[in-house]
Amino acid sequence: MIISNISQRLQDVNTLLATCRQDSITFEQAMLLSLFYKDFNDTNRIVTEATAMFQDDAEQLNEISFSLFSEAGRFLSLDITGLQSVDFESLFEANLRPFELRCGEAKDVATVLWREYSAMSNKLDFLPLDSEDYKSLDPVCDAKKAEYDTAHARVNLLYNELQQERDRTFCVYCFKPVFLSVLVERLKGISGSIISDIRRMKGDAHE
Amino acid sequence: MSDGILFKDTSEWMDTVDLALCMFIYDVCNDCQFGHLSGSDFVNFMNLKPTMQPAYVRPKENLRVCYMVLSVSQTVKPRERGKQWAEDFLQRCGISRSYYDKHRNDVCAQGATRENREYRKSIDRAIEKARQLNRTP
Repeated sequence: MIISNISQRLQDVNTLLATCRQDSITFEQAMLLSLFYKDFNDTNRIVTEATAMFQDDAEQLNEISFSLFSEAGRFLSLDITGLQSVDFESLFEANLRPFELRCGEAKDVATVLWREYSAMSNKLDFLPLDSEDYKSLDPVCDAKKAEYDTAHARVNLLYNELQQERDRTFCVYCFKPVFLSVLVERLKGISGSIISDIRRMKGDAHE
Repeated sequence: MSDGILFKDTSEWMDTVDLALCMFIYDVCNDCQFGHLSGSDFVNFMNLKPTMQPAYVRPKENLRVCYMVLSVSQTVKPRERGKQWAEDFLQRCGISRSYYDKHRNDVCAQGATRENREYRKSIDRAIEKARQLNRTP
């Protein structure tokens, strides 16, 4: 259930914002903020989970909601204007650059090997099969092809790594501090409503 | 009693247009197609809920708002709910159904101005970002 660990994750966000230099955050710090937004922006799911949890464990839901309400209040009391100057898109791009470079370099190596292999292969096409030149070039050509295959497999591997990193960090690319503020305002509202609903229902049960 | 009735206050936080999409649209439309609103107010406005500040469409922006409404309504499931949302949202914006039916695709037309083409791209990107954000691992 996502509702049970929002509070702890928001506490991590609050600690970071209270202690870091907001206008020069690192990529990892940007990741912590944007991942919180990514993981908890589905507020409908939080409401649905809370409703279900009320049936199973109203006491625990009450505790979780108090904790979330308090952390959200702490977040909203923090000054986060320093974050406004952070270029999250650039942080995302800078993090991907080494992956892109590695992939580009591997591609260059593979391209050279392919050209060398193609040249040899074309030459073989014009040599008589029983000639000495053919017999000496054929194994070299096979070895070059094997070398190319290995290099090509490495390109695929590095390209997949690049795509995975792009997907994993996409939340940084499209993050804006205002998104986080709005989410936390809503989390505060939702947790406040859960607390008041539980209180009201407890009151009804006592009447 | 259903959970919705038990959890009266909490269930009022349920949204038709999810938060991520609202915020990407906010990034494009706030202070442009709509008068300035806070982020929270904009999410409430998109979800047909009361706002602290009055929400309104800026002059000469109805055409662009129509395209946004069309695009957002297509993300709401089931389809009928999306259509109903579009109808209610248009009413809130003071845009007639007939105007919407006639102009909702104008920013995609061949003769559309550069500004309208740019706007269309921004809305399409906002929709795509919201989709991708909630899809990536």
